[in-house]
This record gives sequence, C-alpha cells and structure tokens, in this order.
Amino acid sequence: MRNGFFSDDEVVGRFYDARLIKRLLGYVGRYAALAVLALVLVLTGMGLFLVNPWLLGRIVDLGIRGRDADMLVKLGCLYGAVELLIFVVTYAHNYLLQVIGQRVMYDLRAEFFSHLQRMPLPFFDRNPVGRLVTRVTNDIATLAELFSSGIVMVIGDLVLIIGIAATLIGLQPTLGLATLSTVPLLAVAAWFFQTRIRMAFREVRTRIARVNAALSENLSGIRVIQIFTQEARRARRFDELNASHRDAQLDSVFYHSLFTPTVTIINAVCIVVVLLLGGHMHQTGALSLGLLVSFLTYAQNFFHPIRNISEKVTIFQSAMASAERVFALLDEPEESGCREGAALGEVRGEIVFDRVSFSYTGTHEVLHEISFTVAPGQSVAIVGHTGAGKTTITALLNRMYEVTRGRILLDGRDLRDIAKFDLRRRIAVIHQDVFLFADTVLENIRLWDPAVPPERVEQIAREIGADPFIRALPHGYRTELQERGANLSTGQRQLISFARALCADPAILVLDEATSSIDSESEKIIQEAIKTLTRGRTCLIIAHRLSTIRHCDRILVLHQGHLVESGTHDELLARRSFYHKLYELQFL
Amino acid sequence: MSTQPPPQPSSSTGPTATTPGSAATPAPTTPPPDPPSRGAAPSPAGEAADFRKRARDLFWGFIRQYRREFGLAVGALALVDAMDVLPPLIIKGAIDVLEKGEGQAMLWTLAGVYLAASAVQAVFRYYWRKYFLGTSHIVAYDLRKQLYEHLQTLSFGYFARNKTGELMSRLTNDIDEIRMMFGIGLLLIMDALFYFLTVPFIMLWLSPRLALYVLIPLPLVPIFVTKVGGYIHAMSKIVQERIADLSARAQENFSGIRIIKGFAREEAQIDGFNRLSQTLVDEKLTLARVEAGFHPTLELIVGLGAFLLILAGGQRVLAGEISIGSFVAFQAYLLKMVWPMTAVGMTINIHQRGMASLGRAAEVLDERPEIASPANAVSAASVVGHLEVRGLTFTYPGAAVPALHDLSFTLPAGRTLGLTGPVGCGKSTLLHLLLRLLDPPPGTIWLDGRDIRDYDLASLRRLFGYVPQDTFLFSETIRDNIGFGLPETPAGAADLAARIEACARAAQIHDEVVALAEGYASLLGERGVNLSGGQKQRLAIARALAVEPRLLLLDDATSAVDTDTEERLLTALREVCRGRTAIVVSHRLVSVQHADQILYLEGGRLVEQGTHAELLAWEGRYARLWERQRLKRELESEQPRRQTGLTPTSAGTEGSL
Repeated sequence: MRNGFFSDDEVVGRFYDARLIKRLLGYVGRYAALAVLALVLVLTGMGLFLVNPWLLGRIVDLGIRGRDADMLVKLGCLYGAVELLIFVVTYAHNYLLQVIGQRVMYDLRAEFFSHLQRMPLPFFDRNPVGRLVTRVTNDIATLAELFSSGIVMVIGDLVLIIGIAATLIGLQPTLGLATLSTVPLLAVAAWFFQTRIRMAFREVRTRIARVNAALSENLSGIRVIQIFTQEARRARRFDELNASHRDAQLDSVFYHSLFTPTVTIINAVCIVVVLLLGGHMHQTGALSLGLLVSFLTYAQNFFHPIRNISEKVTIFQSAMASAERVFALLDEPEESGCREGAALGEVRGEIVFDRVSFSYTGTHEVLHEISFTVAPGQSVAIVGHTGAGKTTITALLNRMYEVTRGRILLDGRDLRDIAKFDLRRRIAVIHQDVFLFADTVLENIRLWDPAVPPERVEQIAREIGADPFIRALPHGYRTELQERGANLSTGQRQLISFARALCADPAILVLDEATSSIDSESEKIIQEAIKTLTRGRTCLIIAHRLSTIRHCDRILVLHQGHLVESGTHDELLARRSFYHKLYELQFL
Repeated sequence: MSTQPPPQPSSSTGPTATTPGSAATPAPTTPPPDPPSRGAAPSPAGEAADFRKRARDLFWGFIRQYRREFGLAVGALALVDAMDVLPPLIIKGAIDVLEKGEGQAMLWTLAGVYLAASAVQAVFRYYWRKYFLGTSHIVAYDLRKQLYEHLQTLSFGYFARNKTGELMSRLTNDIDEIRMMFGIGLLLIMDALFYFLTVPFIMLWLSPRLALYVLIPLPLVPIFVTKVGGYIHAMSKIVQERIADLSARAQENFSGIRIIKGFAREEAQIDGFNRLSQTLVDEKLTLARVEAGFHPTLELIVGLGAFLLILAGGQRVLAGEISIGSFVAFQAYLLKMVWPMTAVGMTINIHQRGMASLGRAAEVLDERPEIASPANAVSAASVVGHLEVRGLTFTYPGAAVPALHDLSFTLPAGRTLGLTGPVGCGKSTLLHLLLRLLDPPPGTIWLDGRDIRDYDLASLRRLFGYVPQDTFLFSETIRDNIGFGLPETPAGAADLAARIEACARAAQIHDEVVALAEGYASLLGERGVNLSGGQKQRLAIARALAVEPRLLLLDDATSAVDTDTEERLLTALREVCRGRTAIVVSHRLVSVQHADQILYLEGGRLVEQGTHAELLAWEGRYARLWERQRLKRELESEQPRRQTGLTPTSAGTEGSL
C-alpha cells in the first residue's frame, strides 16, 4: 500500500509508432470482418450527419419559400428518417467497436497470461507481482481502448471534417472556402490548448500521486507521528503537497477556461463571415436562403470532430506506452524444455547429485560441489542452519533453476534430458510456507485436475488425516478458502498441502518442513501424515525440527553451501560435531 | 467497495446514501467502551439522518465560506448565458432582413452585435469556469486538509478499527465526488436553471403554439439521463469489481507461481484466468449495450424535436404566423435546450453521490479522539523518569482475557528494565500503555509520583524515545528520518547535522550511511535505497535517540540486527542509556542481560523477576531460554570459512543495560 499510488508507468508514449501499431493491428485481424463493418458504419454515420443540414436548407427553399406543403411534409419525414438512421448506425458502431475492443483485450490478455505462465521462475524473481498485475490489467485495458474508442473514431472524425469541407465547397465554392478559412485557426487553437491541458493534467496526476502517497504513508505511520508528537509538522508538509496539487488543478482549469472562450470567438467570426458574405451573395441572387441556413448549421459542426481528434492524443500516447511494455514482456523467451525431451516412463526414484554447484547471481555460490546419492525408496534428510542452501537443492531438483556446474541424475539420466512437465509431475515439492488458493478445499487439493474425482480427493484426505477438519468446515470440501487460506490454522494448511502432494501421486517427494511450531495434537497428526506420504517414495526432507528425521535412512548436514557431514542419526550424534550441536539446540 | 448506492431518480426523499448499511463505514461495530462525546447511542436511522444533516451543514458551510467566489461565478454565468441566448435572435433578424431584401447596413449592424455578444460571452466564460471549477478545487483542498489534520488527532483504537485503505478512500474517492458536486455539479444546475428561465419564454414569445410542440419531447431528457445514467453508473461499478477480481486472480497466480509450476498446473490456471476474463468481457458488453445508446438517444430526442419543428413550424411559416427567421431561431433554441436537460439528469446523480461522500466525510470529522489531555493537564516537561506500575490489569476492548494481569514494579529514574517472555505475553502492550497509545486504568501507571493520565499528552509523549517493533520509516532522506522528532530549526543547522550523526554513530549505522552514494541525503523507500531489516531498526534507534528522551523504550528493537553488530550496538546503547530511564523489550536475552532488573512475563502475568545473575540462579524459564540461545549463538558463529569464534559477553558487568 505504501507507495501503491505511485504508478511506475508514468512514462509518456509517442503519439504514433508504426511498428507497434502494425503489431497491434495484427490482433484486430481476427475480427477483420467486424472491423470493416464498424468502419463502414462509422463512415455511414458521418455521411448521414452531413445530410440533415443540407436537408434543412432544402426544406427552407423548396418547402417554405416554395410554399409547397406536400414537399415540406415529405422532406420533414425524410429529415426524421435520417435522424432515426443516425441513431441506429451510431448505436451499432458504438457497440460494435466495444465488441472488437473487448475481444482484442480478451485475446491479448489470454496470450499474455499464458505467456507469463510459461516464463521460468527466475523471471518472477526479477519482476515484482504488482508490476505484472498492472501489465495484465491496466496496460491491456488501455490497449483495448485504442480499438474501442481510438483508431476508428479518429478515422471517422477525419472523414467528417473532410466531408464537411467537400460538401461546403460543392454547395457553393466561394462561400465554402470562406467558411473553411477559420478551420485552421480552430485546429491550431485545439492543438495549442489540448497540449497545454495535457501537460497540466499530467502534472495534476503526478501531484495527486504524491498527495496520496504521503497520505497513505502518514496514515500507516500515524503511531510514529503521534508518539514523536510530529502532528503539526506532518500537517504542514502535507499541506504543501496538497496545495501544490490544488495549484496544478487551478493551472489546468486556467487552460480549460481559456480554451472554450477562444473557440467561442473563432466560431463567432466564422458565423459572421457566413452571414455577411452569404447575405451579400443572397442579395445578388447567387445563394438561396435555404443554402445560407445550411451553411450556418455546418459552420457550427466543425468544432466537434476537431476537438475529438485532439482529445484522442492521450489515448494514443498511453496506448503506445502500454503496448511497448506489454510487447517487451511478450518478447521475453518462455521457459524451454517443458514438453521437449524424452518421456520419463516408470520412475524408480534414484537421485544422484554429482558435484553440483549453484549460484543465483553468477557471483556468490549458494551450493558448492554437492555430491550425494539417494537410492530408490530411501528417505534422506537435509539439515543445516538458515542460509545453508537447503531450499535451493529442492529448486534444482525440479529444475526451477538450472545447476551452474555439475549434474543431477534421475534413474541415471541427466535431468536436462527430461521434459520439465514430465519431471515436475513425478516430483512433488511441499513448501514450508503453504500457499493456498482462494478456491474450494477440493480444488486446492486436486489443483483443478478434473481427472481426479471428488471421491478420490476425500479418500486422500482421509489417508492424510485431514478429512475430519475439512468436514467440519461450513461447506466441507466445497468451502471456499480465503486468500492464502487465512481461515485455516497452520496445521490445517500443512495437511492440505500434504493432501495436494499425495493427490499428484509423485515418485519423489520433497518436503520442506514447516518451521513454525504447532500444538502437540496437530503435531501428532502431521507426523502420521508424513509417514503416509513418504511410504514407498524416494524422499528428501528438509528438516527444521530434528525430531522428525531420526528415522531417516541418511542425514546430510549442509553448512553455508557445503556438505559438511552425512550419516545416520546415531552415527552423526556419535561424532559429536556440528549435527550434535544442532540436535542439542532442538531439545532445549 | 460499494461506497455509492445506486442513485435514486426520485430525489424527493433526498439522498439516502448515508444509511449505515450502504455506506462502507464501520459505524456502530465496536464502539469504544466509554465514548465520551458520542452521547446516547442513536438508532441507525437517526444516525443516517444525522449525517445527512451534517452533510448539508458542511455543504452550506463551504458555500458560505466561498460566497464571493460562488457569487461571482453565478454572475459570470448569468452574463454568459444571456449572451448565449442572443445569437439565434440575431440570426433570425438577419434572415428576416435578407428575406425581405432589406439593406446591407442592417446586416453589418447585426454582425457587429453578434461579434460583441460573443466577445462578452468569451470573457465571462473564462470567469465562469475559473470561479466554479477553480473554487471546487479549493474546496477539495480545504476538505482534504481538514480531514487529514483531524485524523491525526484520533487515537490508536480508531486506526485499529478502520483500515488504512478505507480511510484512503475517504480522502480520495469521496473528495473527488465532493469536488464534482461543488464544481461541475453546481455549474450545470445553475446553467440549466438559467436556460429554463429564459429559452422557453423566448420560444413562447416567438410562437406559443410552436413552442408547445417543440418542447414536448424535452422532459424525456432528464428522466432518461437519470435512469439510464444511474444504471450505467451501477453497472460500471460491477465491471470495476470484475476487474478487481481479475487482478486479484492474477496477483494470486503470480504469488503462487512456485506451486503452479511445481505441479505443472499452468494450463488449469490459464483456463481459470480466461474464464474470469470472459466474465469481465461479458459484463462489459452488457454495459456497452446500454452505454452505446446513451448519446445517440439524446441526439435522437433532439432530432425528434427538430422533426416536429419542421412539420409544425413549416406549417406556421406557410400560414404566415411566423417568419423564416423565427423558424431557424427555433431550431437553434431547441439545440440549446438539450444540454441543460441533460445537465439536470447528470446533476441529480452528481449531487446524490456528492452528498453521500460529504456524509462520510462528516462522519470522520465528528469522530472524537478517545485519548486526550485532561482538562487541567500538567506539563510533563520536568519529569525525571521515576516509573511505578501498581496493580495494572489491562483488557483490550472486546477481549475476554486481560492482556496484562495485576502487574506491579518500580523502575527508579536512570535505571534500565529488561522485559522478556514468549510472544503475546503483554510486553508491547505495556509500552503502548506507557505512551498512552492505549489508556491505562486510572491510578495504575505513575511517573514521578503522578498518574500519567494527568499529564498533558503531547508533553508526556515528548519524554519518550520509542523504537517500535515493526520499524516504520518514511520515504524521506535518512537525515529527515533520524531527525524526525526534532524541532525543524534548532540552534543551528550544523548543530543539527552533528546531533544526527552522533545518534547514527551510537546506533551503529553511521558507517553504512556514509558508504551510500548520497550519505545522509539518501532517500529511503521504493524510490530510494532499500535497507535491510537490521539497518532500518538501527535507523529507528537513532531516531529515538535524537530526541534525547528522558525515557527510552526499545520494543524488540534489535531483532533483525546481526549478532556482531548487535554486540557493538548494545555496548553503545548502554553508554547512551546512562542517566536515562530505559525499558528494553527483547526476545534475545543478550539484549536484556545487563538490565538493572529483568521481568519475565507469560500470558500477561509476571512469572520471574530479578537481575540476570539472580534469574540464572533461579534455573527457571529465563535460565532455560538463556541456555538455548547461548547454544544457538555458538552454532551460528561456527563457520567453515570464517572462524571468528565470538565469545559471549560475560555477565555481571556494571553497565546499565
């Protein structure tokens, strides 16, 4: 929350980037028919828009001045019909553009999200969750807006301007050109003020972000402020930010306030030109009164499309910036070797670490020349103090990270030759901090695998000893867990993660034991569950409580990335060295 | 967050938004045990009416405060609108002149008048926006300032009950709604009012019959805008919620990516995400079906008016009742009436939402601090620091068991007390009571022989240098963070810098600060340097030392500091504590071993008490814990490459910590 109000995305994009636009248009390609239809509708709408002012002139000339009541009714009905058509066409293209925008957004989002799912784990270490969420939601929504109210409408507005100009010149070249003479002025004014307004608005956004960041920080730290009796000073500082935001707002009001009067004046000049020149031409008989009325109506319609276009600049800019960010991530290579590689077949479960070294950063080695072998069906415990490199071993085993040097063999085959998906389905890792999804207990155990029927899940839960407490939940297996399983106790969360692992029926089990202590009743259930889990499987247990590993076939003692001791519990104790001390500490 | 109820088109009952059910306010959930200023608890309905009234008071308060600005705004608006009503009449004149074939001179005059009217209109359009919109930003500024300054006076309990997120929403979304009400809302309604009072009469003057025909479809506009606008607003909220769902889903996925990849369940996640994404698209398109028709419908209503005008008006012209000029003017006035009609619909929604927000703001402003200085408070400035706790039992509001149970001890001025025990034993609660973040029962905590409740609150807190358990630093420079509690301009700037540096040295953070590229001017936080937990704690210690407190309170202040540094830090602190009363709360017994007196708490009760040596000799819980921690330290110091072999400090030195 602290700086959540600052977006790291305040970068201003270019107005137009051919490369990005081309790539974006690729997404619209799938809806080419719809897009063409929308464009046709927009153009039709603009065309219709041009008809009525002209019709009004005809009504004045033919109906009223021609004193033809029938004609009046006929033209009047035509006018009404055009209005009705405009309604239908505008509604249709508005909706159609939304449909296209939303579909493109869906497609982009789907592509982007599945791309992210296929990124290797180090990618997620590099990119904070918040940033990725912003990409998936905001950035992609901004892109959709480009399609729903950007590109097509700009084309439409441009066509409308050209259309009005052509119509005016077509109807009466001299008066048409005279009327158009103010249009460049209007365009310049719109451009000038919109640029200023945009800049002022950007400033407003930066400053409100600062105000909100300060607010959020001060409210979070309110205790520190009160204890150090800094209320007055904090209030003064906040006031500075608050006032600076107000001033930025007033600046933007200033430009807005100048913009509309400018348009009013330019418009008035245009009308007066039409009135004087048109009036003169009428008197010389070069222009009918109806046509003059038409001209007066057209003259007032210029401003709309010009302002629309200048307002769209923002949409284009932010869409370009978003596209840049989204495509940058889309272009990062996905995790390789997920499906490629030899199929695994039956797994016996022999693990060999052969002089394995690993470094996250390339400089500092977290594991150093580790070698050991685990025979099929054996349970091996890894112990050591914090930072010894225990957890890293598990991440290498299911190839979340690749070894820096050395190799790991499974049943005699180098892990790198095996498809990752295949490998990961045979190795279940149970993490010490249990991650639960905001979904039902059922789905949390079977992880959305429809091939596992609910009865099977219940059976697994019974084996693990989780069934009684799950049944006691308000809706049993269908109980929705809160975010991160906040409505469960630590022990219960553990048991669900065990059930999850058992459900995957892995050949190899890696258990990163939970550190936080739980009450002795749950402890007993959990110990039983671990026995069930490990039966008949090759197991690596990262132990934090030595009480649980006494019966392991072998214990590896890790210290600062080195394998310092190994042997059975009794052998190690007899040696009275590092393990002995760890052990003593546990039982104090 | 359903902070805004769906707007109610039939506004005869007024805004009903501040009912506790609809407002996202934790209004009557857990009232403090003894709310001093709330009076008799009002019924929910009464309370809602109350806030409606308070909202109205606030509203008129702002109008009165800025009556000059709003007055000028209305004046400018009247001029603008008057000038805006003229042009169709001018055009009418011109067309009539032309039709009759009269002279060019008249045309020039009319053109001149037209330009003049536009010029006047342009000038006052500037003021009109400036005074309405500008003032609304000033009101927003005022209210934000008021709310923030008021929040600062509220107590610990209030912030425990109200999440930061909710308060933020008061200060952001609600203020936006209120600003809209004072700015565009007021502007629109005044504008509409002016048009209603002029245009229909001009139309009636031009032709009563025609005016009736043409004005018939117009009342449709406000009804349509209110109804459909309300629906669009409500539906947009739902879409917003779907977006929130989707982003929560993405957030969860990225946070749990290890599990997903570990079990190779990517495909299932993609399916689930796409389903949610599809729901969002569906909802959005449902909204679009209505939204796409909003503006076209408004235009259609105008078109309908124009259609009626042509049929009926054309006949009138043919019958010779009105001139062509009037006919054209009618068309222009028709267009001018649409906007005010739309405005009425919009204003109703804006006003309802604004008043609801103002009600919620009033609710915050009406909240009174639960802990305040007593009426005839005594200044604590001259307190020496003799602390006595007598039979202190404290229960959190709503809790069944007391957090502290019958605790008594005396801590003479200048001495150090060590406080330890398992998590939740009440250690931090005691510190909070001392600081009066929580209120102790009367007569339980005495400072220099006086109940701490009798002291002036600010002067009491100024006695303490407090290092909280969860370090909170501000995203400012290191210098500002250490000097956080110091007056802004002490004797001299150089003096201040020296003092900050001295405190940083004592807290063992100076060397690391100087090593940073910008030293003491380095910014902390997301946009600055990222410190480790231990470094942050040491900064917090420096911050507490900088105020030169009479009493120093360290709440597990070295938990994240590594062993080597802790050793040096504790030695330095012992020096600093000389002459000050200090309470050191810690899980690590090395931090408390040198205290003059150590209390071991469990479940809020005092179970062991004495000096380090005494407690070791007692061979109770303290002694067991000590032995365990000694072994652990030994283990940690055993390193394959780095053989430093720290020897634990010997007990029983004469230092005060």
